[in-house]
Amino acid sequence: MTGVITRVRTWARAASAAAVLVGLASVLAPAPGLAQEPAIDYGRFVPALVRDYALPAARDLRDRLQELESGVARLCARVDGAGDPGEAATVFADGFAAVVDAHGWLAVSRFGALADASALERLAFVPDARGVVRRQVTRLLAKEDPSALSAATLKDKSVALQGLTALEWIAFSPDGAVVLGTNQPDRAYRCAYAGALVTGLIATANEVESGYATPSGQTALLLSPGLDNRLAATPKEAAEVAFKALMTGLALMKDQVLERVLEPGPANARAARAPFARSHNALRHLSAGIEGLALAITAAGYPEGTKDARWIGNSLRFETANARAALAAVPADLGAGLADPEARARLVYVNTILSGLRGMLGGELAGHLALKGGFNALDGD
Amino acid sequence: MRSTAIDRRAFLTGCAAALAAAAPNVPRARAEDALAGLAGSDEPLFVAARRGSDGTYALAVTSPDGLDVLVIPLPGRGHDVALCPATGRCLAFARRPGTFAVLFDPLGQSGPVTFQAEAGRHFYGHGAFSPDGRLVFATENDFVGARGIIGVYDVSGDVPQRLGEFDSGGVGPHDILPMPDGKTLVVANGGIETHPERGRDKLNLATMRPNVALIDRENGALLARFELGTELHQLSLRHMAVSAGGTVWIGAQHQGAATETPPLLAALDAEKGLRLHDVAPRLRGTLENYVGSVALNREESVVAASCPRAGRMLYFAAADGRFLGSQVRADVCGVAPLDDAGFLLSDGEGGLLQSDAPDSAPLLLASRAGISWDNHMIAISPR
Repeated sequence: MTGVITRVRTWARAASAAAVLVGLASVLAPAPGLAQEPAIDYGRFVPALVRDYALPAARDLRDRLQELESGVARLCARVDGAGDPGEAATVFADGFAAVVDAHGWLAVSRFGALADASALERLAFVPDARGVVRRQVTRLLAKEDPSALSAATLKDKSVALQGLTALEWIAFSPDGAVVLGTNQPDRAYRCAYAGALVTGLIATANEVESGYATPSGQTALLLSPGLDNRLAATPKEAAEVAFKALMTGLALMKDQVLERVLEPGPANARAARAPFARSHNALRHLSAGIEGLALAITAAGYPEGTKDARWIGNSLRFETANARAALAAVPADLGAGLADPEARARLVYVNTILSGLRGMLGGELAGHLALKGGFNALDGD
Repeated sequence: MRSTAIDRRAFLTGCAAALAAAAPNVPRARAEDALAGLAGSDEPLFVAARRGSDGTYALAVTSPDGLDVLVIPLPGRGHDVALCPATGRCLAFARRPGTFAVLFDPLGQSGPVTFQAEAGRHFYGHGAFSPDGRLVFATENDFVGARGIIGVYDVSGDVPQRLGEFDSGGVGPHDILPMPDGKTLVVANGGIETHPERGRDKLNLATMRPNVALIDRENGALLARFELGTELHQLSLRHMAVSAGGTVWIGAQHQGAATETPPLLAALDAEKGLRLHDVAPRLRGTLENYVGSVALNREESVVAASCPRAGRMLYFAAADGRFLGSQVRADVCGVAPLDDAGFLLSDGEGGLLQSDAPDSAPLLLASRAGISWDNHMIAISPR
């Protein structure tokens, strides 16, 4: 529940800040035709994004992972995994779902501490279109590689073996049931690996939280643009890096999750393309990402950057609320949802909303703020 | 492509051990995991320059799924990487007007060696090996004389030695590739004069005359020079791919008015000379007049050309230059053969994508937060 409260508070803070700014703007705004729109203050976006979005989101993820750690311990503490795991499995599944939710919320931002030292990939290896996690974890389980059983040595292994996606693979069956801690031949190895995974994930979440709280790495660079800054010479460039990262997060949700699961074909096979479909948390993750996108854009204050873009904040909240409501009405088992025409239509509707968001944010908002510039966009190379 | 005589699994195992010594910035276990994933397939590794989350630059050897096996820090932004057909070593060049180059083994058999351009010269970002791997030919700018040159380096020893230079056959040489005969180099002289004191300013747009030159690498003699018509004198010819049959595919950028939308892909072969190939009418005017990279797939049936400013990939039939289709992807630029038919693409937002067909969306294999892949990417295959 802590995360939910944090999230509501963050939302309220961002909204109230926006309201104050709108109010101030209306008081201070000159009559039409008397003065030009003031220059955009690009320096405000990244600090607000870090303070009001990324940092609380990282703390939320860490807190939920700590709760999950006890869930893993409880699930694996039962003697020889005998009998019905019952409540322990439910607690673990709920804890895992909460972590997926927090991850979806944070991961959409993709900038700053999340981008340092492959932190985002270590938290979860997505999109994983070719089943790297499945292949690497299967190989690991077959070898019972001891180097995966402590967080200290696991961190030097493949990032695909370190994340929530690896934990999901060993903890859930293809139909979404919890199998971690049950009486499987390799139960002991799976439990030890799960423990190392969660310990490592907490360390990574702490690393990310610390990178935002006491700015270091990319966060520090984006907070202090200047001519000697390798990444951002101006506040505008810093704002562009963060904005582009958010747009990449949106593109991932639309192009690599929704569009891929909506392609023709067997429902269950298509559903498996979405991150966290195995544990029936794919839609939860997607919904959290959509919510996170709206919160991040709002917290950063991008729509408040210029008078002409202010309508975008309201529209963003409206559209993302519609998308989340539609997702909430689709069965958590995404395969079942895709097989049901009505539920599938809701997913198509969400995809349409995300298309509109891409045009509104990547087109209109970026245009109003004059945010541009791809890494390879300079000609002559 | 590397030798096919070596057992792939054993070779990759050996690579992992070597990488451990050569690349402390990628833990051995992580490199082993990445290479183990390739052991059951015939997929290549990929080499490219990139910017990291902290703004520093590096060369990376990575699996198609974005798992690093080797990362070499660079003193500045890199550009293209040339592969030696004899030794498997690679040579990466600074982006223009940079002055460093790095010779390295992408599988960690030896440490990287960095060297500098001659005084009064800078690199243009591209180079080519001789068939025996002893020599390297680099496109360079004699910016005092305002002429394009090819610097010749002996890379057989511990430290590369500059042996001399010859004329590139034009101004602003950019890409350079070996022709299949082993004797001829093909050079894309972009025609744009620059000077390092003027940054990336273009100094001769009104009078520029790009060309594609064929040069005898043994004596520097200009064998042939091909130009487009005078009405296309601002169509800078810059990036190339060469087929086994000797057809040269050239990507261009147009320096004229934005309202002018000439074709951005040319082909050169001995029989037909230099020809232009255009996209479908609906795409004309949408490409921002810029192609950033060109590659052939492994079976040489399709030519791919990236348009990073427009966020679009273009595909053409290698048999006749017919436009096949396009894909939308923001800031896409790097392109290299992934398998017989398909390509791996890279973008400025950390994406690596599998492109199997010109008319379907590419599949995102990796999305590395904080990483910006640079313009070019090459495949290296130890199969």
